[in-house]
Amino acid sequence: MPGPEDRGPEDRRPRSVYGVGGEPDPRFSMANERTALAWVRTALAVVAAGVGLTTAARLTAMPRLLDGFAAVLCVLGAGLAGAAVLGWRRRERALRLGRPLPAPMGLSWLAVLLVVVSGALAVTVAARRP
Amino acid sequence: MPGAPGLPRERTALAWQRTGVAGTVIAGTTLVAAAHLAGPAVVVAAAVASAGCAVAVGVAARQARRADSPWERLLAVAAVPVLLAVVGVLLAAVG
Repeated sequence: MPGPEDRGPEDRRPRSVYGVGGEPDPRFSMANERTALAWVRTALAVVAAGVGLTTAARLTAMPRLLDGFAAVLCVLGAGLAGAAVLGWRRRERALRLGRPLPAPMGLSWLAVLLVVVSGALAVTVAARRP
Repeated sequence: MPGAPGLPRERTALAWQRTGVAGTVIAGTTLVAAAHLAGPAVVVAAAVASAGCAVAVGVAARQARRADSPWERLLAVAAVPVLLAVVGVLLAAVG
């Protein structure tokens, strides 16, 4: 079985990334890799918040409502994980093609969604307090 | 990126380790939460998802020594929050 040292540059996957442009500075590629990992960790944190919220829902008088918010957070976290992979691919292509890096659109969406979810949660809990 | 020199490579390896540790800890916590909150079906689903997370982290660690592209490792670690999100939605649904 051939090892990685036996593989040529044409064997690198995905071809949609490594089949275009030239080899960038390895430091930039590794920075891109770390950025994608930071997004994956953010996704993990959002999912953990969702699981924590559904656990805390059992301690309150409005479990269904909190479970709804928890489900939204979990779906948001899963979406962030997908965005991490797609973002790595877009940035690596830009690096290889010598183009400007794409704007971090996910950051503003994440901030807006978290503010909306946490704001709605705070308002709902405050309104239902006896 | 096996041939890359110096501190960036070390920082990247540490970032992979942090992500693996975070995924493993959150998978374990989710499994414990499922065991306390849900019925057997969801607990089995959580156990399967946690095992999937362990496999994904293992694949990522194994690829680290030999891969010339982070693609497969990224897909593996990105699967961890997706698997845990499925468990979280299940927990919320049966709550």
